[in-house]
Amino acid sequence: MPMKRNIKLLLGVFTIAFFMLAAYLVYIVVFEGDRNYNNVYNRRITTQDKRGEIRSRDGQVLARSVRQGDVWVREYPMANIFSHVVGFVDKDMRASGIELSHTRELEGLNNSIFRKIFHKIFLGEIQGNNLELTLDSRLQKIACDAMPSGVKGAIVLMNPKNGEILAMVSKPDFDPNNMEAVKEQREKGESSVLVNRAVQGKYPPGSTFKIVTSVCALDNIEGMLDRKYNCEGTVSIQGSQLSCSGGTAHGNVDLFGAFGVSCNTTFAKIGSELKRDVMLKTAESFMFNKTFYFRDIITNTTSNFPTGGGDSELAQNAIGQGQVVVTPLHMALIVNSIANDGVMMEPRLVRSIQTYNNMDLKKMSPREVTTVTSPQTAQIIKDMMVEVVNTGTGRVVALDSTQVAAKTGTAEVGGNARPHGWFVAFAPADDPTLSVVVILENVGSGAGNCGPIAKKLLKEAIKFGY
Amino acid sequence: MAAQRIKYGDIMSLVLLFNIGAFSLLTLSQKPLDTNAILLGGIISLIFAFQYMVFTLFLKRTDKLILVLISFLASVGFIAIYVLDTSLLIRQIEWYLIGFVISIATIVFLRYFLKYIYKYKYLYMAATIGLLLFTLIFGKEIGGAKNWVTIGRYNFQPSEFGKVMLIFALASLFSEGKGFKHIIIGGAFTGTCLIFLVLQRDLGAAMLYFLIYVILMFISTSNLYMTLAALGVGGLGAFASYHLFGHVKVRILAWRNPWADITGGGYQIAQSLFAIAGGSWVGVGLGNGRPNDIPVPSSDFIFSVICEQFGLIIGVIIIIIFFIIILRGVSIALRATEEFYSLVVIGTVAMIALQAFINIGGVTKFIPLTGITLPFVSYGGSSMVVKFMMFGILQAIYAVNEQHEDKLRRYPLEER
Repeated sequence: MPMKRNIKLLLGVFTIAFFMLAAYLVYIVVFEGDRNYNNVYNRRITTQDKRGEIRSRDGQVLARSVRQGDVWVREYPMANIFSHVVGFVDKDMRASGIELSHTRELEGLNNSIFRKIFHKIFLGEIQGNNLELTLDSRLQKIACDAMPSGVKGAIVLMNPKNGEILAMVSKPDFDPNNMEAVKEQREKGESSVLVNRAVQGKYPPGSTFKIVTSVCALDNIEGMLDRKYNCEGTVSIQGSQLSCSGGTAHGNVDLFGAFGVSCNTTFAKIGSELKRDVMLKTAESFMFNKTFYFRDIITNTTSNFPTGGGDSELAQNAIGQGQVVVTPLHMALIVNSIANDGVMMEPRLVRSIQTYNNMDLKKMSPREVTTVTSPQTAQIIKDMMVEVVNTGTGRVVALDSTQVAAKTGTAEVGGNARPHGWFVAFAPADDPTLSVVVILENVGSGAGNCGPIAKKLLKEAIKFGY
Repeated sequence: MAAQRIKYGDIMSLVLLFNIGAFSLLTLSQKPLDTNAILLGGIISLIFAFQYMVFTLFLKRTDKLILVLISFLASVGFIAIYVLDTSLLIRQIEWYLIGFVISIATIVFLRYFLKYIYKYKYLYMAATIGLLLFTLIFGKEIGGAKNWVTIGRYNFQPSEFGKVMLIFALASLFSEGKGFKHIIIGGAFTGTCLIFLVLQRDLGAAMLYFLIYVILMFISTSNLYMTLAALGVGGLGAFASYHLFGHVKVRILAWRNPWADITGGGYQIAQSLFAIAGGSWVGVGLGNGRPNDIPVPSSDFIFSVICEQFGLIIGVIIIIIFFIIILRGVSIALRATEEFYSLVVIGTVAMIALQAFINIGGVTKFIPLTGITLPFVSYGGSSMVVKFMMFGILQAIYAVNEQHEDKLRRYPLEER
């Protein structure tokens, strides 16, 4: 009877639907629970509970709970130095940084039911877990101190191979021990010190974006390395004028030469030749226009590469101007993927999680985000970045002991404002274990202002054995 | 037979134990002791026990398993509602009692009239459209949808009662004939209902009405092309409403990414996800957590409240229970002696199942949020009463099946 068959068919549909529903419910709790819960709009996050300790990889305590009367208060011994990356907890503003992204671990909420019961019975309350970060407090302090006073900007120092962040600084910063001062500033309408520029700041990448343009050219234009371009100092594309730094004419250059001296006209020509679709595809393989989901860093900020626009806009985009914007952390990932043979690793802040009595609970492991290009192309870009340090615009970062690879950037911001300075580098060039991104707002040249900071960080990090 | 009754009795005892246990915990967790909780819990347990007794003693030819499962669903709902708002629980108990009476009335009524009611398809259609039209004219807006009618001190949702009428109308239509004509008449009738529902901004009900039509049409006519065509038209309608109505667009965008507009369109779903994540496997414990952060916690989002309080485990159990109800319903439909009965049962079971699926799927971000209640769990008078009516329909046809099979057993030759 067809009707009975149809009814059984309907039952099959309902069976699948309800099974999927149950599986999905388990999925959102098990795999998305932490990400969903650790949200600044979740009023379940409170300050009264005791939280676990946060420590740097060299053993410095960065955050701890202390008893004050009958409530727990959070204390940050390193004050401003870790302000954005470790974050704060506050009764009005809830939490930020690691304090927000790892609320459940710190409060012990995702302990197993047996552990929870054990804690309740024998310890009186659920004990939070301690976190050991990938950050090195010495390098973090050096990075913090290296930023010129009064200048806004960010620094990211990482290991490109495993994605561990060794230092991450954003200025201006704040003292998480004194959130009342921050609130006062906020009420006065001053620009917020809470913004973590390293993660949330959207900047025009300027010439550092030539890394992406070069990858695109190498992967899409046959015989790219043999090509020659004639730089006359300026070029006119679709009626809009574009010129090299200081109007210098670089003459007859190939890709290597153009990259080394950061020749704008050549890259503008390359960009126009590549066309919008091809450039967009490469940019998106580098995760432009995409949202990152990191385990340790909450980010809703997306770097953008325009999906449309005429040839003059495209020429601008090819040299990292126009509507292209990137976050400093994302720029660090771009540099890392060149250093790491084309593979982009997830940036990480948490090395391991320990119980309240410091028993190891979980060691975090590296994770790949995506592959952006072939190892061969990555190697060519590496060589080009070595040339930048040896003969080009990045000589300031050269170290005696180690070969450094780098790219400078000076990003125009429009109007009469001075440009933002960029400096990106990694070392040792043949087997990179360190990468650094420095951006300073409105300081002018990247090489002159940011280069020395990058050099100092690389030098110190190598000294500490990284 | 006797062995089976004992088995269901055992499950019923477990439900009572669960209910009493939960309300005892609520009592003990307060200082001073919250005696209201245990008092109300006791009353609820007595009602459950009384209801079970009535069914075992006076309505022997009924499916006790469905009854027991529904008592459990209601118990979880009662506990969640108590956590949210004590005074609301008292009203919900009233509704449960009214629903209980309605279910008995439905069973008794259908025992005598089931044989005759298959032929009034136009009456049912007129009643459905009348109810919706009435709402459109006299309705008032509560919570974004204009689907409420106030009579005296009670608020009704006629679209809830329309659901029963719709099932009867379509079952009657399709048991009469399966031709193109019948499919078109059914489509025109359902389409008219949908227009009224969309005008009332009651998208959840619109989705339900549409799917019930598709299901009953397919089951009875086996016409795959028309089923696909209907689904296509439905898809087009959904696409059009996405572009025509701002509120539909907001819902879809909030489903795609609630975090992008967390203070606006994504607020409800985000709060729901916080609660479910907060509950984790075993919940934060009765009375803990922040159930009142969740929007419309006692009706549309009660599942999120339950997940925060009891944890994922009860969430999954609720899904399983709805699935068992579907299984029982399908078995009633397969055993039914008349096609009309089969279609009525399938319509009823599908309505309960779809509502559960759409509600739970919505609050967990599995599908876009549409704003409908969770059957037998959510707070709400019309919802509770109509669900009990549906429960009564299932039981009445179960009784007919039993009666028929008894007869076959007793006079096997005569039937051949």
